[in-house]
Amino acid sequence: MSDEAPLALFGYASRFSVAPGETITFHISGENVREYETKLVKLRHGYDGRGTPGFLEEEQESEMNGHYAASNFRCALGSYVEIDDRDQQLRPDAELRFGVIFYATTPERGRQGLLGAWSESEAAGYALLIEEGRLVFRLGDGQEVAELRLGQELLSHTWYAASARWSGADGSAYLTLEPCGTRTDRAMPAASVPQGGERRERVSGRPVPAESTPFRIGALSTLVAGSGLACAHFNGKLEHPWASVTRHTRTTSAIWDFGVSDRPDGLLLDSVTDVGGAGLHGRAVNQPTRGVTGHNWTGLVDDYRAAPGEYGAIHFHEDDLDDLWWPEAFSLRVPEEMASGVYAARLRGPNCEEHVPFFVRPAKGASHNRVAVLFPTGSYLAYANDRLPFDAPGAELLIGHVPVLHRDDLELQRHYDFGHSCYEVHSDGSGVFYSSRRRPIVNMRPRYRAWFMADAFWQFPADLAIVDWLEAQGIAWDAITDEDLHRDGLELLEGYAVVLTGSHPEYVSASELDALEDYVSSGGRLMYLGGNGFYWLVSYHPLKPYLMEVRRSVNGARPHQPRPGEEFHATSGERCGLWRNKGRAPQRLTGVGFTAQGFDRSTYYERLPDSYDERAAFIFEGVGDDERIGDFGIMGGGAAGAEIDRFDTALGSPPGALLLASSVGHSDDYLRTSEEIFETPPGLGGTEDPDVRADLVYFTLRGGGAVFSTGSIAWTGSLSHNGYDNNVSRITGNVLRRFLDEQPLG
Amino acid sequence: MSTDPADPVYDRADRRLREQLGGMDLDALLEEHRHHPYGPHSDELARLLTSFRKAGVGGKYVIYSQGDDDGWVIGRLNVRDGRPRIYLETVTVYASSALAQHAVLEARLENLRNPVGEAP
Repeated sequence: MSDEAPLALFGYASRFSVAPGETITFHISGENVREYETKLVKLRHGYDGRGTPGFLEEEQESEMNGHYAASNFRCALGSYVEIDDRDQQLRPDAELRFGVIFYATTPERGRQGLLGAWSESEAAGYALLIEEGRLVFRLGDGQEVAELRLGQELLSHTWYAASARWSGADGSAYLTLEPCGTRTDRAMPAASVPQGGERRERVSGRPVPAESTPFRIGALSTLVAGSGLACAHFNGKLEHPWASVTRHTRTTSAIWDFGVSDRPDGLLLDSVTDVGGAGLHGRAVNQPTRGVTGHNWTGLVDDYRAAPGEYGAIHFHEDDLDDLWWPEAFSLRVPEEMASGVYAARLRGPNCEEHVPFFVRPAKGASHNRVAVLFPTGSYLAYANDRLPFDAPGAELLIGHVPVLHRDDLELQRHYDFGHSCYEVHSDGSGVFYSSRRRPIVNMRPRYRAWFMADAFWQFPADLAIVDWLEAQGIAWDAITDEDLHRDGLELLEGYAVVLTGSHPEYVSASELDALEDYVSSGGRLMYLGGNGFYWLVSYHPLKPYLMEVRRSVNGARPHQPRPGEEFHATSGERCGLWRNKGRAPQRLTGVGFTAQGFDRSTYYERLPDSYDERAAFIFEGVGDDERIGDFGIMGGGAAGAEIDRFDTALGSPPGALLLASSVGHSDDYLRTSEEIFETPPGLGGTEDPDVRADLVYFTLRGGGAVFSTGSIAWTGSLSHNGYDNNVSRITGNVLRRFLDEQPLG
Repeated sequence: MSTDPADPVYDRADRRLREQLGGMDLDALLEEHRHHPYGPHSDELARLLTSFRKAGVGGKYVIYSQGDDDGWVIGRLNVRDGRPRIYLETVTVYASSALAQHAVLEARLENLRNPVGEAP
């Protein structure tokens, strides 16, 4: 492809979900675009392939409609800690001592700031940094620069202690490096021979930071438009940074303990505490990873709150991101009469178009419809901007065919600055734990096609298939999101007769799972129209609700896993991982749980004896006894495919549940999920393993609640087949209409 | 340039795999794939495809959809400056992604028979 940047518009909204009376703001950046037109649209169907309803949007009258001037905004990636030094205590004129314990993960790559107040553009200040794989102490006053550089090549994934000193009295400078020799270095210290070193010189330069240069840990600065922007980001862990600065005969000593929380709950969020007594506290920017092991981690404790002294490190990445901070382009105060649903700000410029989707939910306490669709925005975040076909050698192997890319994928490839999905690894190989919605999410566009499903859809557009199906059925409904449910809990669901899930609600928080269990246990009726749901535990940053954390765990179908001892979420204190590993397998809630995945093609269900039980008769009205269910569809040609779930009483499928139908004919690209494989037996593929299947399950609960589950991501891709006249649509409609009927279920 | 002591192990495995693949009736497997590019596949064809799919990112094939009405083309990934980039071959346009899948296998088999030094 040409490297020439095409015309493009990108944007994000201040929130996923907004209620009447609330305001949502939009943040837009144009590339080679001077002006664009904004129109509010209501989204009804996204996928625009042949034989489907096509792309359906309805233009809306709105105060935000109009023409706007476009500006281009930068994306500032990379995490660091910035110290609030408003009294300029860290600007030496007589004596400077500072240091840090570090664990570099890419020491060979470029220039990386460890700590200090150094401006690259002004050649002023002081810093410890890594350059060309070696430790450097640099200082300067804007006129003259001096540096001490050690000859030892730093080993990656190895703990060292570094410190530096400058004396204004005699101009002497000193730099020292000492391997920590820990038992968690990548290789045994005796085997890898990490070397220390020291250097002492008289220098004529002085460490005089420019006015605009803050003291940073994990990055240096460069002057842009009057501000010292962060640059030269460090990859790896920093621990126990300290500084002792003498200025005007007064010495200030600061020690930053990254294991110390300033909160009663002990969570490690953005605040960084100076325990040295100088009050020079700091703030973590762009969400580096906290709750990570320090050089002294013993392995006896794995909860950072139980042993803060062993968790005094922060892991910084040059590609961390929590908020792009683009300025507001326009806003919308949602009118009281605006119906709940899926909307977007549609942006049109010359030869380019962008949709920035959002959901309008009913206001608290307002009357609402009897059906709610729970849009899995947590899963949208986990998958946000995934670039696996470019970055993961195993991508083609996993999906069973050559990846089929689309325009959106090429835009993602041009825009690494939009940050990662939680399926990727950082540039230093460590897993991505955080995903933010305050950035463009290119694969959350309504017409996005999934590279791994050969022209089919995934996530947001797959859930729009439910929207158009509901509209076609003439059923009024409301939109709610994971983020709403996490925040409001059961209160959000109360009053709804039926809640429908999206196609792939994989990532849920504890409060969501509690609310859904309480909902069905108190008479609510749940239709789980997807696969691999309720699988991973996620949490949201208590102060930044737009940011989700998922650390995965050491089992489960996962693209990466945390390093040893780093399994507790910094934003919630919970141990990461599968809900199954917390005694809450998805089968408890939905009767089915993740069993296998494959992406070559989908199959269909065959009815089982339970489907002829009179209690299930309503489900199969209009469906033949021997009819194949869902041998058609957008997602690989069938309703049973991609990620699939099975019924299993040992994992919590409720007693008395009806196993209505089960899929057949999966290929060996479908393999049993790894958390169920203890040894290394053969025969775990779809052609041999009877547990590689998607199950259709129905059960009722005391109190009038009920659950219907499809156990397949591909289900929603079959709804629109033949103009909605098909057995997948019929079964889904039969269940929804009966669930809306308040008469007790059989 | 540093080398990994395990490299010869992988080189040996790759040679043996190519010998095994050379013993297959590749024309018959190609014909099977033409009929079922997205599967199901015989064990032997699955083995052949897996051997190609295991390759690293550099040189890997991708398919690019120009839109349902505008056809599909083949591309390859090249890693430059540490980042993979896509190079599309836009002269030949395929009428479906399935035809493009098959064209990739044809290209890979051609390279297997007449190696030119690129990753399969």
